[in-house]
Order: sequence, then structure tokens, then C-alpha cells
Amino acid sequence: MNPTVYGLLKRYLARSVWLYAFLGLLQFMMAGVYWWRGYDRVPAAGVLLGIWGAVAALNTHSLVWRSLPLTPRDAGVFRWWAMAGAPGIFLTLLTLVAWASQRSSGFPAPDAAAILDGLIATWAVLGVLAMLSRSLRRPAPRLRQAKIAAAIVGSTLLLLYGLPVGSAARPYSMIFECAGLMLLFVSAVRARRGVDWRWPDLAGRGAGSAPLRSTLWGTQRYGISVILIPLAQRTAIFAVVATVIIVSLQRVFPRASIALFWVYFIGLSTTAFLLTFQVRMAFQPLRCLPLSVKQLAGFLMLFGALPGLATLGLTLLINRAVLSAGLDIGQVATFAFIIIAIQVFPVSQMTMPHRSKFLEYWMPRIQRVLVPVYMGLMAAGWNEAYGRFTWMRWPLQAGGVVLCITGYFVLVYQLRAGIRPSSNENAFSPG
Amino acid sequence: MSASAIEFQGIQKSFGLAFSLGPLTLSVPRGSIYALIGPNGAGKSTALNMLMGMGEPTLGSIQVLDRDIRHDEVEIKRRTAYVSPDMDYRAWGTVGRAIDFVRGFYPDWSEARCEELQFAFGVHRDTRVDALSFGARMKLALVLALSRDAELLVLDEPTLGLDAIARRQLFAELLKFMTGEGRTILISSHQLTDLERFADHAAIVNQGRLLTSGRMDTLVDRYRQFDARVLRDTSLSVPGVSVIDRQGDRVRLLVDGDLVSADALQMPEIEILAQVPLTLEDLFLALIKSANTRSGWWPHMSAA
Repeated sequence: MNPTVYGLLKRYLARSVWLYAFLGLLQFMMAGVYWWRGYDRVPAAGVLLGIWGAVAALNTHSLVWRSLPLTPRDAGVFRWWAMAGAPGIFLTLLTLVAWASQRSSGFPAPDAAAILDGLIATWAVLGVLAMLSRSLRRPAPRLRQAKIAAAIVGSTLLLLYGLPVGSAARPYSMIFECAGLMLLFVSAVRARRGVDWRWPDLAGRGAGSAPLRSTLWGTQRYGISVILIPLAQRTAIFAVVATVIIVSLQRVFPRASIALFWVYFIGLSTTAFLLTFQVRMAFQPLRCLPLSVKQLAGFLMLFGALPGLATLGLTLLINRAVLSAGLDIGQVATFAFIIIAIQVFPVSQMTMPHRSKFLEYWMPRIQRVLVPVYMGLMAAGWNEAYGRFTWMRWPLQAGGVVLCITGYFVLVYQLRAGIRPSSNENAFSPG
Repeated sequence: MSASAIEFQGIQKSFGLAFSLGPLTLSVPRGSIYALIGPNGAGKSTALNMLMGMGEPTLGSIQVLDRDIRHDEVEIKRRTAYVSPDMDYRAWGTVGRAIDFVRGFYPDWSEARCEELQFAFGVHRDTRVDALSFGARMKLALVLALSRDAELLVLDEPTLGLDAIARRQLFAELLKFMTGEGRTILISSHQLTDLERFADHAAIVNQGRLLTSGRMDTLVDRYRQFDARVLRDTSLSVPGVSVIDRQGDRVRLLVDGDLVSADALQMPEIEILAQVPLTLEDLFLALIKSANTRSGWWPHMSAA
């Protein structure tokens, strides 16, 4: 690793520290639970770290990156470290620390051979990922969304269910580990030789003819339906595909209903959250429509929440019909309120001029707290703590209603304050 | 060391049926300020992107600072600074972080120069990039490009979004840049008045092809513009003479001095009224109009 790659990797790790910390903690806790319960599995947080590395390490279509004097070899080596090297070392150290702390505090911990098996499996997964992520060809937007959704669902499943290792999984686990390590080695050698990396051709951007787009109904749309119909189409397609996958998996793993339920919910709600970009990207045209600020705020919240609400409804149905993971109407309502309320979150808060000092200080903090609260509620539901404390439902639901109403007025205030559309559209730009 | 900083040798780039660039052959002399002019979609940005290795030509070769872009892309990028309105630094959060990131790649980075430029352009390290206006983002890109000792400066629409003061500041900084030995600037812009004052060479491209190129003074001297009166329904076909505008019997003519002398207009159907001073903008409009006229260099003159 030369100084250029080291510098790039250092900056990449600095900006990814939140993800490493979050997934590291998750891996640490889940490894403890698996060892305590005696499961022959290893949690695979490395998959998510590897995917993040593949996606976020290098922004291949950024002119800033492209104008830098970065050799293909350096770019390839840096990307390999971001995808496989750094997550592998991090998870190895983390597993060893978890193992040492479990043993020293008298909690059950597996023997050294099992730990080694788990570590090899982790590196093997990263090897497979490093080999699969070599291709830089950017897929079409629809395929990209589908790939992202599939990757999120797959990696969440791996993270929650874990990789089967130990004597019960042999010889398949050994075959997988050998193949994975070989792929890891091959990917490292190829990255070092600089044969995998090739910057995409950007000279033609915008010059080619626009692709012919077909729509489900193939008719010219006007007004709000321009945004609403594609949003509904995509929501329906993702939901149907995810439902088919999860029902099939439930047939294969009948005892994993609860894990499958949460994989389904997290995967779909994340995809739904991404789909709200359909609304956010159309922010400028929406602001030009003959709508009052209050009407526009209402549409933005409802349209943004639509994929999430549809997902929630489907999750409830699929839970009742197949998984029986214990989701009830009260929980669904709480989630629905939160989904609607967090629609205020993506509107840029950094550049918004506040007239009130109080709002200026507290608004960004409140907006940042909303998503962790959302995740926290899901985690609470998973741990069954929420189920036991039934009285918690009412304040949570009341809080959700308050969040929705407050969110609406915040959005109205933001729209009136005049947000820079240019900064809003790319509020979550990658890199 | 060759006399040219950049050599486009018969480059072509195809994008299906929609657009194709070239064949384009162009030489940018070392030590010059070279203006690349053309209407929207002429292929200027495509050519500049290929020059920086962001895309490969379908045919032909590009030599930059005596090196082939296909083989020495990294070395060329090390010695070249590039500015484009498409350069988006928002992912880095603040101006300071963007500067720190880019600085790490260039051993010839001058911290003092960077601070001087930040002060001159009014760009502050602590400011968030997404809070900057479009013009201020261009200023940031210019600060990053000019803070090092590049031999070649490639500027794609650098004046886009800049106010008059910032534009003047930019050209002052560019002239300061040119005081270094062997420095070259290739600039693409639609601000023709600025380019006429600033650049010493120009090339005009249209629909991916080169219309004309050369030193700015000879280019403007080569063409002459006349106001004339012609008889109605006159159909003239003199090679090298083009009608730019027609209002009734009054026409404005552009004469290419390399192809035809002004004496060629001594005809009974034409009465020359006056010679009109020709600016780069006039020349650009006339050449593009002529090139886009389906009947070729000499359009058919019918009653207006």
C-alpha cells in the first residue's frame, strides 16, 4: 500500500466510521448471543461493510475523482482494501476482542478452532464480494435500484441469520471457505496488478439519444400523476418481488419466521425510503406547480410516505398470512406515523435560514433523532420489550401524531423560508 | 519538447446516430491562451473530457504535453489542471475538506497560493459546499485548479455563474498564471467578448467539426464584413462570400479574405455601403449560420 492508497483509505475510513461502529457493535452483540445460545453460525456484518466499500469508496462518475492523477492500480488497490481488506481486519480484531472478553468474564465462548472457522468464513465472504464487485459498469437506473434492493435484503438476511459454520455445516462450509479465500487472493492479486480497474467513459454523457421509455399504461400523464404513478409502480414491483422471495424462504426455513419478518420489513422499508427520492428529485417541478405551500407540503409528506405505508400494509398482511411474527395494528399505526413524520427529514436543514434561534439550534437535532428513534422502535419490537410494555403504545402513537403534525408545519415553514433546490436534490449524494 | 501543448490528431467519437465528434485535428501551441468556441452541443466539452482521459476517442490520438493520453493519463493529469461546472465538491462537506482532499494528490501544491486565491475569490474553508451558490462553487473549482504549478489549464465554461467582478478576477488570475514559463490555457466559453480580449488563439467548432482556427488577430483580419444593397431577387454565388443577414434589399455580407478579395464584390447587382468592424462574436455567428445553412457556404438569396 503506497502513501496515495493509504491517504485515500484513511479518509474513507474516517467518513465511514459511523457504519463501522454501528455494524461492529451489532456483530459484537450478535456473536455474543450466538455463542451463548450455542449456534454454529457467525454473523456476517462484513457483507454490508464490503458493499459499502464497493459503492462509496470511489465515485466513478464524479469529475472531481476523474480529474485526479490516480493510477488504475492505486484505484484498484484502494477499492480492494475498502471492500475486503479493511472490513476483514476490523471484524477479525473485533471477533478476537469479543472472544477474549467473553472468556475473561466467564461467559460461554467457543473453542479456538470454531473462532478460526468463523474468521475464515468472514474472509471468504469478503473474497466472494470483492470478486463480484469488480465490475464497474453502471447498470440502468431501474436495474440499479433492483440490485440495491436485492443487496440490502440479502446482506440483512446474512447479518441476522449468519453464516453456518462448524461441524454441522461441513463439508459445504469448507468448500465455501476454500473458494472464498481463493477468490480473495485472486482479487487482491488482480487489484495489485491494476487489471480490474478501468474508469468509465464520461465523454459521452448527455450526448447520446435519450432511451425510449415505456410506461405501464403508455399514456401521456399530466400534473401530480406524473410523480404518483411511477412511484406506485415501483412500490408495487418491489413489494411483490420481496413478498415472493420471503414466502419462498419461509418454506425453506420454517423456523426462521421472526428473522425473515424483520429482514422483509427492514429490506422493504429501506427500499421504500429510497423510493421517496422519486418525490425529492421532482422537488423543483413540484414547486413550480400551481399549488399553495400548504398543499405542496401535504403532497410531499403523503407522496414521500406512500412507499413506506404500502410496505407497512404489506408487511402486516404477510405477517398475518405467513410469518406470524407478532405484529399488530397498534405497532403498524406507530410505524405509519413515524414514516409520515420522517418525510421532513430529507429536506435540507443545513442551508435553511431560521428566523428563530431556538429552531435554528433544535431543528437539525430533532431531525437527526427521528431516524434513530425509528430504528430503536424496530429493535425494541424485535427484543419483545415493546410487546411486554403495552402501555408504551399510547404515548408512542400520540408522539407519532405530534411528529406528523409538527413535521407538516416544519415543512410548510421550510418551503416558505425558501430552500435552495440545488442543495436539496442531492441531500444524500454518495461519496 | 514540441511546440504544441495539445495535439488532436483526427479524433472521432461516435454516440450512435445522435451525435458524433470529428474528425477533429487541432493543435494548441505551447504558451498560448487558446479559446475553443462553438454553439451548444458542438462537442467542446466532449473534446475537453477526452483530453483529460475521461473518455476514449473512437479513432485518432490525443497528445498532451508530448504524451499520449491513452498511455500517460496519470502523468498528464498531474501536470494539468481542469475546471468544469460539472465538478461537484458537495460530497466533501466543507470547502476546507475538499481542499485537503485535492491537495494530497499534487506535490507542487502551494499553500500560500491557495490561501491567496481563497481570499481573492472570497471562498472560506469553513463554509459548507452545499451552502455555496453556483458561482461560488465555480470559484472553489478555480481555487483548486490554480493553487498548484500546472503546465496546462483546461477550463470548460469557467465563467458560468460568475458575476462581472469575479470574471475580471478570474482573468487577472489566469494572466498571472500565464507569467510562468511554458504555461498554456485551453478555455471553452460562450463569453466571446471576454475571450476576444483574453485569448490569443481561437478555434470554432460546430456539430463536432472544426470550422476555422488560428491566431485571434489573423482570424478576425481574415474576414471582412460589409453592409450592401442588392437588387431584389438577386441570386449570387461567389465562393467565400456569405450573407449573414437580409432585410429587404439591404444585406450584411461576410467575405473570407483567404478565398476572395473585396474587389470580387464590384458587381452591378451589389452596391457596397460600408465596411463594418468585425468582432469575434460577429464572426462566430456568421460562420455558424453559414455552416448550418443547408445549401452550403453561399446561401440562395431570395426576397426576404
